[in-house]
Order: sequence, then structure tokens, then C-alpha cells
Amino acid sequence: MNKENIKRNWYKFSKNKLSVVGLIAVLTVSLTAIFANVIAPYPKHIEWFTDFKNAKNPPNLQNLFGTDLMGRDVLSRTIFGFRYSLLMTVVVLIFIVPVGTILGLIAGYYSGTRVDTGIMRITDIFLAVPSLLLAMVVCAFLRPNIVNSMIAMAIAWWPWYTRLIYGLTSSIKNEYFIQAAEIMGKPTYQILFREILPNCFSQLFTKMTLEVGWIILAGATLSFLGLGAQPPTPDLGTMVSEGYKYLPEYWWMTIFPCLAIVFTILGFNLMGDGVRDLLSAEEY
Amino acid sequence: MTELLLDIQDLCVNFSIYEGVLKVLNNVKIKVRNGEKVGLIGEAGCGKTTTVKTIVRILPVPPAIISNGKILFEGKDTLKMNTKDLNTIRRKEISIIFQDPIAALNPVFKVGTILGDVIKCSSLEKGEELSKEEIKKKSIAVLKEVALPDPERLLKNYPCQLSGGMRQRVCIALALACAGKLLIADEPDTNLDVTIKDQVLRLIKNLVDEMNTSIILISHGLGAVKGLVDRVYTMYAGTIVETAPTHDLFSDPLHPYTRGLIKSVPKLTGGGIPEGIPGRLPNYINPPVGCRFAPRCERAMPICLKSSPTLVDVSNEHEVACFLYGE
Amino acid sequence: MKMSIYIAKRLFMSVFVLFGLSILIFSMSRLMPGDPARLALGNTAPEWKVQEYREYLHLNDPLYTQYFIWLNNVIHGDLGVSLVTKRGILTDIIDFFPATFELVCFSLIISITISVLVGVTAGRRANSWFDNIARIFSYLGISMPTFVWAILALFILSFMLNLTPGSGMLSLSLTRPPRITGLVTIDSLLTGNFRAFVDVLWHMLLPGSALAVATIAQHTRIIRTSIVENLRKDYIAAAVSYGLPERMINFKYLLKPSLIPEVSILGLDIAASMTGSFIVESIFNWPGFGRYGTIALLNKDLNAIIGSVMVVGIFFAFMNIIVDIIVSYLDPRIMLKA
Repeated sequence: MNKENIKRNWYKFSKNKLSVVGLIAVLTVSLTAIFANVIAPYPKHIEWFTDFKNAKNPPNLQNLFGTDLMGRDVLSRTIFGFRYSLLMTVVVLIFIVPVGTILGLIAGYYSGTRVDTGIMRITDIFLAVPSLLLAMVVCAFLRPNIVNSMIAMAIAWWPWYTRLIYGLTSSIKNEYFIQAAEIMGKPTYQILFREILPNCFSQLFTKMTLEVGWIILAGATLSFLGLGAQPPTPDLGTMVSEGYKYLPEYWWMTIFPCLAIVFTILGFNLMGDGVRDLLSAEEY
Repeated sequence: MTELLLDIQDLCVNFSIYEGVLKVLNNVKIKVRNGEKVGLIGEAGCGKTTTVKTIVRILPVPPAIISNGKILFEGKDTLKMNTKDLNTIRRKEISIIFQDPIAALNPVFKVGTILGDVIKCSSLEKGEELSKEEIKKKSIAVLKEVALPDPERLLKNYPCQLSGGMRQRVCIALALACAGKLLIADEPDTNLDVTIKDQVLRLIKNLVDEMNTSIILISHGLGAVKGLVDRVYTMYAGTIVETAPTHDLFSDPLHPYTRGLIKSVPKLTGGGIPEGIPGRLPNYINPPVGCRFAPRCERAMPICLKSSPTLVDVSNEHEVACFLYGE
Repeated sequence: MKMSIYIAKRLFMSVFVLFGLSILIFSMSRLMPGDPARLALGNTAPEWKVQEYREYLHLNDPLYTQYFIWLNNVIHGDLGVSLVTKRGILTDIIDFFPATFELVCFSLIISITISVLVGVTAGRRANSWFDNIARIFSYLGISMPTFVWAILALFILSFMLNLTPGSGMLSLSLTRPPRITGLVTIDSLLTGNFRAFVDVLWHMLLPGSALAVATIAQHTRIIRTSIVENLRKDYIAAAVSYGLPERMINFKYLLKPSLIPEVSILGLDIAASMTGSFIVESIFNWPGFGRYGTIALLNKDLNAIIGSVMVVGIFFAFMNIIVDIIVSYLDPRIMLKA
């Protein structure tokens, strides 16, 4: 990627103002998550902390987002909430992308054989119910906490990548340059990783960027239902579920985490759209 | 002198894209008389399809911009017409046979559906309202005219079930169904293989002779053009560089580009492999200031690089845009 | 390939996949860390009760034995007994499913209508103010988890404006119409009970809309993108050159190919609606299958969970086959190529 390429890609990406907005949102969320300790005004409030004198305060100068039932500062907890959301996403992606991709490559390359059928049938089984539901069910079987919800999401989401890569691999493997590599005697793993995989990068990357939004959404839903992070962890979904029973009087306990969730997912979706437009072939 | 059916005057069309503005068509002038058969030749990318698409205004208007010019059909400017008048022309006066039949036919509809709708609209325009039966009969008749076998079964087929040659003939049939005074054939032979090419061209010739319509035939194949049309226009980089009656153009080409084109055709009488024309089409964003062919022209003069030549009448209906002749 | 063979093939595949699903879920439920019986009954239950439940679940037998016992029961129509309702799970599901079906149908009707209208208009007037506003709403709709929508809707419409009821299916003062189809709306129409009919619809409005939002958001975008893409295609330019009227081009020649990507994901969206119903029904206290499932999940009612998952799986497989049939009708190339 030389300078001219980067400039051109940036021009294409920034043509759509919304994508740039998305990029800014994503950067904001990421930086907030990384530097949560520094930014949050009351970092101690994310653990077992009670201050009943200051509980249920509406937004004021000391607590910009108000305080919750236990007297904890909603703003600080929301800031740390970003951290948990992003952490969850990164961990889940680190697992599902390699596993899904490798399985997809193998299944696609050996398409038509029993290896292909085997892998793809297993994929079909995992996709026989909606992924979020599968994650919910796995969570239900495990103890509810943040690590288990990550495991559950990984178990539910890996098949999508297998399917994507499988589709790409089965069509690419018929191209001449693959046949040439085979004739030359290149070892299979080299063909898979050095010839086929690079051709999948743009679609893979696009999918990952768009997927982040879904994973955050799923994570928040799991926590909301009580299947994920448990109190006192300041996960955004958990915060919403704690607070929504107290609508409408103590609206700030719920509405601010809701807005934070939407802001994060929206940012990733907008940015992801820009990435997809950028990477897909375009004429004028 | 018979009246002018189509008169394209000084047409300039630009396209705006990421890198800038492509100034594609540069003062294009084409005249077609009633009953006249006209050929348009030139390299790929020189603007032939853009020109004809502008006539019936099916260019995608952003990013295309028509910056100048008039297209007079029977005296009326199509560029300024309202949709209603334009549709009248599309339904019974002018029709286009498209270059790529697989792209021009809607893949999810049966041939019969598309043909039926075209016939219905075209008849409505002429004042008749046809019943379903009548439309079906007419569809079969049109398909027979383009020498397609078993038309009744064909009506129920989808485009993907037909061979390339059959698809192209369906496109011709569609154009015939709404043709009137002018038929435009945009490289009807390019996407076909050799044996079918000949058949399709002969078919077009027969139809045009029978119906006495005017035709603009665009083609890469000089041979195809030679056998079919009365007059030829040569186009280079969005400019008309020469026009003459067919025989005159081929026996005495004046413009260096036309010369080069004709010389490029290999002759069966021997003489070795001919040279092509060295160089490529200019960059449309920064086209040459003077004559657009000057950078490739072996006979270029200093004036060619500075100003752009216009079409001048050299002899009997033979016009050239070149500083070597006249000006 | 003929349609009947195609359907038969798909059915066979679905049965196979559903078997695999049952094995997967069953194994997960029995193999989870910790003692399933203890986890299900909670920490406060006395040991003898847990032991009883362990034997009931045949937890001491090898896994495949357990599975076959379960499978055998299922074939005979016994999905087990729910820990929460203490009734047969199959009875529970038959009881609760129609309400969810009503809700999902309602939300699908709203979504498809709105997304086609808005999507086509936005696509034809790409980059106009209408398109831009539609785009913003689409982005918002996709970015909000269902529960956020549900809560916001509850907050604004129910609490602040007091427009629609906040929970339940039928106002307390009305009685439920006799059970003919199980679908309360249809039943109330059939028995001429118009008050109940209107009342149920009124109650359905909030949860149904909350379910529909994500679907509307996604479908509007897909239709819009599809239309914009197909507008540039040569066959539309050709249709214009033949002089076909604009309305015919829009609603026939443009719409049919543009609907294909949308219908393809309809199956996925029905699945998403089912998942969404778990959440929406819990928030709005709608007495449906979703709420039942959520309660089962939270209470670790093992057999109920497995039963619910299988029901969703069957429904999903069935809907996918139907969607595929519709898609192959819309795009004949699929059937002809196969």
C-alpha cells in the first residue's frame, strides 16, 4: 500500500460523509475503551461500591449521567462499558475468524469430497437455529458471566465465516492460477494460505467490520437477558436490564447505556458500509 | 434532396468520475437522410455507443452531462423533448439493437413477456389497442421475421435458455417491434461467433431493404459495413473525422486515421501482416488541445497540435476534419 | 431440475440437519460443567430432590442412552415436563406458539409493506432528501438491539404519552375468545367479538412494531441498493429505449429482479423475528412462545430449552424451504441452472 493508493482509498471512503462519521465514532469508542481508567471520573464505581446517600440522582454537575440505584456514577460505568463491549468483540473475532476461515478453506478446496460434506453439514447444523438464539441457549447451559457469553457467541458465530470462505474458495480453486500451482507441486497449505486466502481478504474484512456491530448487539442482548455479564460488571446490556424496571422516573439509568450501545453499533455499521463500498469493485 | 431524418449537431457529452471529467464526445456531427443507410466505425471506446444512446436519451444522466449540441429528429430536438414526446419516438420511430444481448434482456422475464409488452406499447402509440391473442400473434410474426425457429415455444423461454445467436435475434425482433423510421444497430455482430455474424448481418440487411428504414450500423468489422451501408462516418476519440459515401471512403480514404484503419485489415491477396496504428486513444480527461488524432498521426503538422480541425467538404459529399485538406 | 425433486431434496436435508441439531443441543445440555440437575433446581433444593431429578433425567447413564431415551419419548410426543409450569412441554408449546405466530406475522406484514414502499421510492430517487432520511432511519434501525427499541417504545408511547398498553395481550376486563384456531385475532373475528379483536390489535402494536423495526431497516436498505444497482443495468436502458412506460418499468421490470436479494434474506429475518420474540415478549409480557422460552433459559429448565430450540429449528427449516421456492419463482435462472 503506497501513498498514492492510501490517498485514493481515503478519497473513495470519505466521499460518503456517513462513513467518516462512523469512523470518528469508532475511534471515539475505541479510545474511550482503552483509556477508560483515565477518562472516567469515578473509576472505583465499577466494582462493588455503594453510596446510598447519592443514589438515584438525576444528571447533575458531579455526575453527568446521574447515579444509579447503588449510588454509582452512570457516566463512569458507561465508559467502562465500552471497554467490555469492545473486549468481547475482539476476543470473539480472534476465535471465530481463524477457525471459520481455516475450515472454510479446507472444505472449499476439497469441495465435492467427504471432507467438504462433513464440514458443511456441521456448519448447517450450527446454523439451523438463529445464531443469537444458539448463543442464548449455550449461555443458559453455562454459568452466566462475561467469559461464558464470549464462549457462547464464538460457538454460535464461527459457521458464518466458514460459509463465506467456503463459497469463495470453491469458486477460486477452479481458476487457472490454482491449477498451475498444483501442477508445480506446491504444498497444499501454501496453496490455501498464499494463493487462495489473499483473494478472500477484501470480502473477509468487509464481513468482519460489519459483524462487529452484530456481535456487540448480541453481547448486549445476552447481558440484558441476564445470561451474560452479571452485576456489578458495568456491561452496557446489564446496566440497561438493571435500570429499565425503573422507567420512567429514573430514566437516566437506562437511557444513557442504551444511547451508548446505539452509538457504538451505529459507528461500526456506518464505517463498515464505507469499507464495503471501498472494497467492492466500482465503476463511475 | 431528401429531407434530413436525423441531424446531430455539435454534440458534446462529458462524464464526471473520480479522477475528473471525461470529455468524451467532442462536437459530433452526423446526418442521416430518409431511407439512408449509414455506417459508424471506430475503435473501441471512441464514443460510438455513447452517441447513439444520447439520441434516445438513455444515457445515465449523472454521471453523463450533455454539455452542448442538438439532436434534430425530423426537425425536433430530442435533447429538449418532454418525456411524452420522447416516448412516442421510442415506441414507433427509433429503436436500438443492443450490443450485448445477455445484458439487454431482463433475465427474470420470459421472452414472450418482454416482446408482448413492447408490442403492446408500440401499438397503443399507433392508436390500436390489441387483445392478448393479437399480441401473441404479432409476437410470433416478429420472431418469424428474424428467422427464429419454433417461435411459439420460444415465447415461453427465458433468455438464459437461448444461444447467443438466438438472443441477438430476439434483440433484433424487439427493435423491429417498435421500429419506424430509424433503426440503430450497435455492433450487432461483435458478441457472436463467425458463422452467426454473417447470418445476423444478412438478416439486418434484408429487413432494412424490405422496410425501407434508415439505419445507423455501428461495427468494428469494416467488411460488414462495406457491404451494407450507403455512407460511412469514421469516429476517433469522440470526434467525427471523416464521412463519405461507402465506395469513396474505401477507395480513397483521406483522413490518416481512416487510412490506417483500412490498411489494418489483412488482405487475402497477400502482402504480409499489416501494421496497426501505433499509439492509443487519448486520455479523455486531458484530451489533446488540437486535433485529437495528432499524437498518433504520422503526418501531423505544428498546427494540428494547436487547434482542432472542423469537417470540411472536400468533394462530392466527402468531408474530412484534417488540416491536410482545406481550411 | 424439477420443483418436486428440489423440495424433496431440501426436506431430506432439513431432517438430517434437525437430527444433528437435536444431538448437538442435547449433548450440550447434558455435558455442561457442573451438575445439570443441581443447576436446574438451584442451590437451595434439598439433595434428595436433586437425586430424584438426576434419575428422572437418566444422568447416570451414558450419553447416547440418554439421547435415545429422549428421542424415543419425543417420537411418542413426550418432550418432558417443564420445571417451571409443571406441565408437559409439548402442551406448553402448543398453548403458547399461536400467540407468537400472530405477533411474528403481524410484524412481517408491517415490515414487508413498509420496506417495499420506502425502498422502491428511495431507490428511484437516490440521493434525494427522502433517500437520505430513509437511510438514516435504516442505519438507526439496524444499530439498535431489539430490546433498546422495545424499551424506547415503551418509554415514549406507553409511559410518556400513555397511548398504548404496556403489557399483556388483552385488557383485564375482557375475556379471551374461545379457542378455535388458537390465534386470538382470528378467533375473536370468528366469534364476532370485535371489542376483543381491536383490543388485541392495540396490544400487539408495540411489541409487533418493536419486532418489525430491525427487519424494516434492513430490508429497506437492501431493496434500495438493489433498485439503484438494477437501474444502471442495460436491460432497463433497453426497456426505456423500447418506450415502455415508467410505471411498468418500475413496478414490473425493475421490481422483480430487485426483490430477489430481499426475499433471500427473508428466511433469516423470520429467524431473527423468532429470536426477537424471546426478548420482546418478555419485556411486553406477551403470553407467547418467546416468553416461555426466555423463562426456560433463565431457569435452566433443560427439557423445555431443548424442546423450544427444536421448535424454532423446525420452523426455521420450514420457512427456509418456502423462501427458496419463492426465490426460484422470482429468479428462474436458479432452477434452470441446477
